[in-house]
Amino acid sequence: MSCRPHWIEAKWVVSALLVALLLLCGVALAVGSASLRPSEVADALWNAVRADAPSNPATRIVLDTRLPRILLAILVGAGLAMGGLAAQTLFRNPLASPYIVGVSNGAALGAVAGILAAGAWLPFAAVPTLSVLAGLAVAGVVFLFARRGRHFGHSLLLAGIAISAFCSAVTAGTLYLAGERLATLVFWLMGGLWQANWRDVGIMLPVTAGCFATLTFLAPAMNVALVGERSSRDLGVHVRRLQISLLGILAITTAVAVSLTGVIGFIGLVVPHLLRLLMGADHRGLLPASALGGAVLLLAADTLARTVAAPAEIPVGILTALVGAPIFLWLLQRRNAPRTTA
Amino acid sequence: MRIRAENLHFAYHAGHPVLKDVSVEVRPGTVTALFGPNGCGKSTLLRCLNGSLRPQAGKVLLEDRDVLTLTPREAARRIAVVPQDTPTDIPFTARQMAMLGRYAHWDAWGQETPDDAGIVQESLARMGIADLAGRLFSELSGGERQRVILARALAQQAQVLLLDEPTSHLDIAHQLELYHLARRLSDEGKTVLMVCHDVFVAPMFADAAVLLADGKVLSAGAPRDVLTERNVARAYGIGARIAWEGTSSFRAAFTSMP
Repeated sequence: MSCRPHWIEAKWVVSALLVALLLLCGVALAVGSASLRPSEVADALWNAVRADAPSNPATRIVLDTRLPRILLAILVGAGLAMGGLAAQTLFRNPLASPYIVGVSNGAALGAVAGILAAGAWLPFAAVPTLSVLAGLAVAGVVFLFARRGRHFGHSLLLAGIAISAFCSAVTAGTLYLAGERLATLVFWLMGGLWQANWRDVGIMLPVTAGCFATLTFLAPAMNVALVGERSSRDLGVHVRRLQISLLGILAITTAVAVSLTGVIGFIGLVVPHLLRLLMGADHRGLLPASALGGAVLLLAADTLARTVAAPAEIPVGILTALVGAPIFLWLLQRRNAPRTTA
Repeated sequence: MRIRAENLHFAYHAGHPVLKDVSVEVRPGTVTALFGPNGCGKSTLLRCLNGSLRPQAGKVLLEDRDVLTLTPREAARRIAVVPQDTPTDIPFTARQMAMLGRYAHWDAWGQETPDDAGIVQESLARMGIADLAGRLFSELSGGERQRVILARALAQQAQVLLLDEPTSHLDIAHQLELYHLARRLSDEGKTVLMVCHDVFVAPMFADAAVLLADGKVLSAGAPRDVLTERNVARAYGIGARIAWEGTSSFRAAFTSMP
């Protein structure tokens, strides 16, 4: 009987993902509707740090379009994957995603309302703000409903599902009445990074960094939390404080990500789960690996999304779901199958 | 460390009290066995004792300090709990599971130190499962898992041990081993309270017994004075014939109707 898990050490997983991310960045800078030679990419990046930069088309493509988009993909991918990890630990359910408490549907509703109002009486920049506020409001409402329950995690989940359904019904109703703006709204809801710019990168960077820092701090407590609410209290975890922290981080990161890129599915679900199979459940390694894994996955998917049908774009949310759904099913049947090796 | 519950009243739902005026004292250097039928409030009492539950009335004193004034971390450094069940679907090795016992000793930015690794290894060795350290927790047998959880409690290095049916997944040999371990820990000065279903074996190792029935302390004191025919019959609603042989063992026959 061999029960020793065949896990890979965290440092190897993290190093491999880091290398993959760097390689992928190089590819993503070079490919696109105008394909650039490596030397042109290098020139453009060098121009960025030079004061007297000449402005040529290659430099503009790299600096104004591709680089912010790549960085945003990395930041959002990392944020969603870490949000997924926080959700899976919070609910002690490896099939939870960062959208599970309804933040995404709330944020989407806020964005849809914002887009419809924009142009009429709101500046367009108000859309992300409205979306974040709606996402956080939903998390707040879910929390208020769950607060009284004896099994906080359980109540949170159920309240999240109910409010999620409510928000998506309102969104669907709005779409039905949207008329000529329907295409814009649907494209936004599908999720994508085609509007990425440096301002978005500036918004997402502190959010993802803050999420990473806080979860790093909470990682030992998250390890303990896996044994359940009662036992983690007995082992010294302030359970309610941990749950509120995780919910807060999850809500902020997800709401901001959704407000910038729409709803991009499956990254938050699949990445932490896959890595857990690969390296075990110790959050001190799982967290950096998930952040990098999410970044790699979204950057890869987005690079495909803008190149396979170029010059047209496939919404990246469709791609991640197309790839993510089979993986999810594989995980499910693997989970139900008798385990011979870990 | 002496732990003492004074006049505890506890109810999960108003009007349905689980503990009614329960007073219990467990002294350092002793093993106290807590007996009582299913649902009589044993686990609830344990959870009040370590401050996880806040009783509606009464208090729990650890030495002279109200246990509710301790943070969860402070409580876990003083009181270790072995629960009835631990989820088995966590991808942790036995060592990682036992390492959770060290959490309470880390400060906010705490990280595992070589000391922690040594303490965990020693705890696993003490439970006779040092060779299982690298194995997956979910793939151990029920008895092995229980011993990992006991090792986790040892790694907590708490002065008070609250064991909630620690022998429930153990065969008779491992049960005896566990009682011996509890005995040794109490000889080292620890305070041990153990929820038991085994009225036969436990008295051999327990210095004191508490019999809980319907949320009240029916009897407390030396095992021989607590586990009497009358008390056992009343608490469990069964017929009992008990003949004590000395202070630590007895012959008994139980029938389902009184």
